[in-house]
Amino acid sequence: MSEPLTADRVPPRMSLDDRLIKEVKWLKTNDPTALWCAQVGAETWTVRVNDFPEEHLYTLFVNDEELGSFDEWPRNWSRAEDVSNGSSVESRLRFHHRA
Amino acid sequence: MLPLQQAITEFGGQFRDAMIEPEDEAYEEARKVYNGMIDRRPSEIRAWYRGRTAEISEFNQGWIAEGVSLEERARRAWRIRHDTRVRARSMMENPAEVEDLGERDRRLYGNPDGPTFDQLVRENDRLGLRQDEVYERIIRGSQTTNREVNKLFDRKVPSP
Repeated sequence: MSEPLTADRVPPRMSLDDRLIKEVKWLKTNDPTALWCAQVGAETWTVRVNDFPEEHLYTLFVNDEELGSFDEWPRNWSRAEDVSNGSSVESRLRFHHRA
Repeated sequence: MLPLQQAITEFGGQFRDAMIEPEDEAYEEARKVYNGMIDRRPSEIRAWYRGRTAEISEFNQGWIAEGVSLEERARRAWRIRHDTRVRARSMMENPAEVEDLGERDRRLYGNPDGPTFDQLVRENDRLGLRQDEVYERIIRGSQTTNREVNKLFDRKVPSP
């Protein structure tokens, strides 16, 4: 029987800062504001572009959960210009407009 | 009348620091600070932007005192915010980031520089507001975050 998942066995959650230095390849989407998406391991990452400079330029979502916002596109993140066409990543995107 | 180069030399000699001319390597960098428009850090751009838009309220009070019509005040408020937003983006260092902003606005408003005044009026009209309420809303919106504006334009981009 497998051991129960206790707090000390839960893998540490990757911080926003750690994600910003990770090498990620982004695909462009059709969403109005969540312009970029990526599949990173088992996670779906999306980047929403906000109304800069009123707000921070970007907000990162991981599996639809908001991680945090930042103002500069990370150096290790690369962009592909082709719009994703109904891939599994695209189909899992939510419409990330603010309430 | 002095020859041009002699005039330039004598003019430059009046300053404590060296005068930078177009052919100098430092000219391009120095040019960026002309009229205070420099490539700035995002936080500096934001602070500048907020300072400018915060002035709209005071301007509006002055316009009211001058008897400017509500519609005209709304246009002026929209113009200040719109132009300030465009200028803020011109300060950004990363062209890809500027492109992201333009793409976002194209998708939301059909315009890379954000909604036009007429678009804002039309979208507010759809809410069934009186004309004066529409203009007041635009004036308020020019001074605050654009969440209210965004709500009006919430829509999905049609799939290709």
